[in-house]
Amino acid sequence: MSSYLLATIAVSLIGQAADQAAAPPPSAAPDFRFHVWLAYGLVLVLLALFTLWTVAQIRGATRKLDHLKDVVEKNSPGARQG
Amino acid sequence: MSHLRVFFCLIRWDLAVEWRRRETTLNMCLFALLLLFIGSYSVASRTELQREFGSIFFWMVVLFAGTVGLSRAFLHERENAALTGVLVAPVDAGVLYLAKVAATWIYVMAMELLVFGAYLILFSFDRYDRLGILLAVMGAFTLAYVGAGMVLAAMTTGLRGGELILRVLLFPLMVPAVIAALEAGESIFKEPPPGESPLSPALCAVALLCFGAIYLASGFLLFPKVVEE
Amino acid sequence: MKPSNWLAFLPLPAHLVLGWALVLATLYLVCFAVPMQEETLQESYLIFYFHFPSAISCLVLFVIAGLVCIYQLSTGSQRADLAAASAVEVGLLGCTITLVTGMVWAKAAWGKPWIWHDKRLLTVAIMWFTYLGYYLFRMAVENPVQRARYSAVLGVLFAINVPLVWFAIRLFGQVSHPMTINLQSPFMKSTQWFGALAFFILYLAFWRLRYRALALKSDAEWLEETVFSQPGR
Repeated sequence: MSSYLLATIAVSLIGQAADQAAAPPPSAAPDFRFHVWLAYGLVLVLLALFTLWTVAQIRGATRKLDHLKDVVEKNSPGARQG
Repeated sequence: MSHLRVFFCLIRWDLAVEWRRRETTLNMCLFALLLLFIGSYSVASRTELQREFGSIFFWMVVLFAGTVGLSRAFLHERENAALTGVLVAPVDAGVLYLAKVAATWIYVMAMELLVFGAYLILFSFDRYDRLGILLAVMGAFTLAYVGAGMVLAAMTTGLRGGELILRVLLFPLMVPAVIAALEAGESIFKEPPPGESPLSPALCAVALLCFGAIYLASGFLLFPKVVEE
Repeated sequence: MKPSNWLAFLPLPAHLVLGWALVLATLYLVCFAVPMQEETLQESYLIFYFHFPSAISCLVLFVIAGLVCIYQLSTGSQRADLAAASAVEVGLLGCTITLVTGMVWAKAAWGKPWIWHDKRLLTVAIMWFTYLGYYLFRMAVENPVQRARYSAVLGVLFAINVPLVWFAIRLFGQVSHPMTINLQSPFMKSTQWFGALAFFILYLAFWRLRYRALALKSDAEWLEETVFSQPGR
């Protein structure tokens, strides 16, 4: 759900940035909008990557722990006798 | 035995071990001279560049060459388990730390004086009226450097890639001291350009002493945790 | 000492969603609510609303890591070591974001990606190198008890170094033309601090998340060692 929301926001931001980039700047001043969108985009990407990386690590560690707990249960003295 | 006697005893022991083998000090001095020589060659023909960058070369050489001395500070103890012997004796680990800092300060200062001698020749240093304050800044910088580095050296000796990790950890820690030393060098190694007024080198030396005091105090408290078995 | 114990009233998934929601709310405020221009830096000042919160959060996290390291040294707790390591990792993320946004901002405002006269950027850059070394050091020590103790010593040393670096740059650095920003209206100032709070809440959620990941990894490694070192296996 949260990844869908993030993807929607990212797509709309990219769309807005494309529109802004296509339209000519309204005045002679330098167009900072590209830099502003770049900064926001990079921040959100870094935060999202960090979240996904950590969640993936948690899932991997949980799977490994569950597997090791199964191995311990199978090889415990009670299981061997049974 | 009072702590002061133990302190001087440990310094004498360290200096005696180093005097017998001399490998640390010789390696450090040779490495420093080579670095300074190559640095001097890069600005060989331009006197104005020599004056501009001389200070930076000097402090960088001290920083890099000093890590040779620091990384070997605990090598003998780790190799021969001598550290365990010292700690089993009724020696406060904090006193051991201070003695190690004092002994290493002596080697590193010897290296710096040699490097400065080479600097006099290679970079045509002629501001002899600033010699006193330069020695004070060098002594204070070395104190901060060795004070911070000794704890790191104790942790990284014996680690896989320990010497490299020591440098990676030490250099960011030394940034405040390097900034102060470079600021002092602005008015010691060259005439400051008109319109610029760098801070007084005496203030930089005092700041370096404060940094040194902070590193020594933290090292004194943290070193026992590093060497406990 | 577990971060999750202090915030047990707020389950981690809810904390994460709250943090993200607040950060996205900050983004909304910056895009649609605050004035688009500032007197000296025009539109590029908008980057400040993401740059400042990350800078503050990373420095606070490094100080928290230092305090947790002191606790670890006095109790020898392995869990405190994991808490400190996860705080440093999240602090490194904050540092990276501060540097990235700082460089984009410098390119927009000054025309080049790196400027030496912004003391905040310089301090965060030095902290980035410092704590990256901490991270590399942890990878080099294999014994977990030794790693915990040594990392705690490093954490305390580096936390002491944070104010020293700031002080040295202020006193000696070339900050004659600092990158100042003048937030004229109260709404701009309150958006600035709302953003700081939003990012800090998200970073706290990340801290809990990283702690959980490191704790599970550590448990899995311990169990693996125990299982495969049993006689007859």
